[in-house]
Amino acid sequence: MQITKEMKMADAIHRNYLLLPVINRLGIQLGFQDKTIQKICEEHNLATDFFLTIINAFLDTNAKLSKQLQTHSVKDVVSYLLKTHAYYLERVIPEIENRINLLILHSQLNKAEFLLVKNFFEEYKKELYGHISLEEERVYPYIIEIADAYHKKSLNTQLKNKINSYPINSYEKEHSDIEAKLFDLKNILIKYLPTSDDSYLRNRVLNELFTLEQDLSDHSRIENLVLVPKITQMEMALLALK
Amino acid sequence: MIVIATSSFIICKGLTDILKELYTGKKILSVNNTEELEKLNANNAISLLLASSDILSNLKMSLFREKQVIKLIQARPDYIETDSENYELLFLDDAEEAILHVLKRNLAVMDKNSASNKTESVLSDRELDIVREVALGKTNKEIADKLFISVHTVITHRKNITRKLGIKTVSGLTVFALLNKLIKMSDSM
Repeated sequence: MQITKEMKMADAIHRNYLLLPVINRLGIQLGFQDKTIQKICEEHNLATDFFLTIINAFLDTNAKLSKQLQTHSVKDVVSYLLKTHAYYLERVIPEIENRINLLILHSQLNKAEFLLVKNFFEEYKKELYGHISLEEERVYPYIIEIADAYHKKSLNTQLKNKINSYPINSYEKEHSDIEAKLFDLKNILIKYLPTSDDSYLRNRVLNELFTLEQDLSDHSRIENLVLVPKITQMEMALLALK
Repeated sequence: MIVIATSSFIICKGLTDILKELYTGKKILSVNNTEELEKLNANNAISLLLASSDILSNLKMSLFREKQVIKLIQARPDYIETDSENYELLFLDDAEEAILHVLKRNLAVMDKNSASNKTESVLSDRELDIVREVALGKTNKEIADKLFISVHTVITHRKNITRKLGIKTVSGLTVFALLNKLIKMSDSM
């Protein structure tokens, strides 16, 4: 069932608590009393439709829903995606590191085995950072540039060259290896790290990994189903300009 | 795995897409001719084979006697000869419903059969060899040369390894190999 604007914000969170970081990123903090979603969005000067689309896209992974986002402005979508990046870098990754360190500290197993996990995570982290900076330094600025040119209906030679050499769909497949590594890390912890009585600490690492995975897949869903088709359309329209 | 053997691109693509919609559990592969099919069969457990009649007629039948096979036939003939080979028949000119019916029934049978022998989660010795080499950072070509097998075979092994272990990346396999003492820490540096 979809979340609607008449619904109380608190009820939306009760439905799925994983929405908490999502609404934080949109600038909304806890303590919403019994206010409706619409009321809170108005107080925060946030477009209610945009808010609803983002959280419904998170809750319901069917592609059609995400397409609704296409009606929102490219800048809003990009700014949301930037905030998810910041959330990964500032909160999620350090938290996973803490939990891995705790696991190593308290485990009776051979340290070398845990160092493997830690190194693997370090590698993953590097790749994630690389991916994020590619998006922030190249992809998003390009997207904004395209959207601006599209609205002004003017295309300069420089941008035309960019469209021809690095169109938006050339960035698309970048996500795959990052997802694969996260998937592997989960299986290493679940299946292959030797058994010992530190399950509680391992679970805590896994909890974070599963949550991050879901959040990342929402992130790439928004990119692939909303931004990429929309920007592709704009690219074609721009190239067709006389 | 499910294998589609036909020289027709469009039939192959069509069947692949339909099967993907009906079923996600198993890998779907395609081959163009009898030799490729035999090669694939040598290295893999094929659970369901859909093959055009020309490919089937060239096949050494003993290989597929025990398997579930669907014979692809262009058009429904006026009479159907009683098929001594016991193949299921799929008439490509049939309506959607009839085609889906045959496919669904066979997928259900396949699922039942494979549920009974679900021991393939452990790696074979050959697959362990491959994991070791991958973990040491060797390329597919280098592994093929060292183990005297084709690059294609290495790739097939690697796909099976990934499916069995649930590990997709090279660095993931390296961690697996170290944890299971397939290689030593000093090797991986």
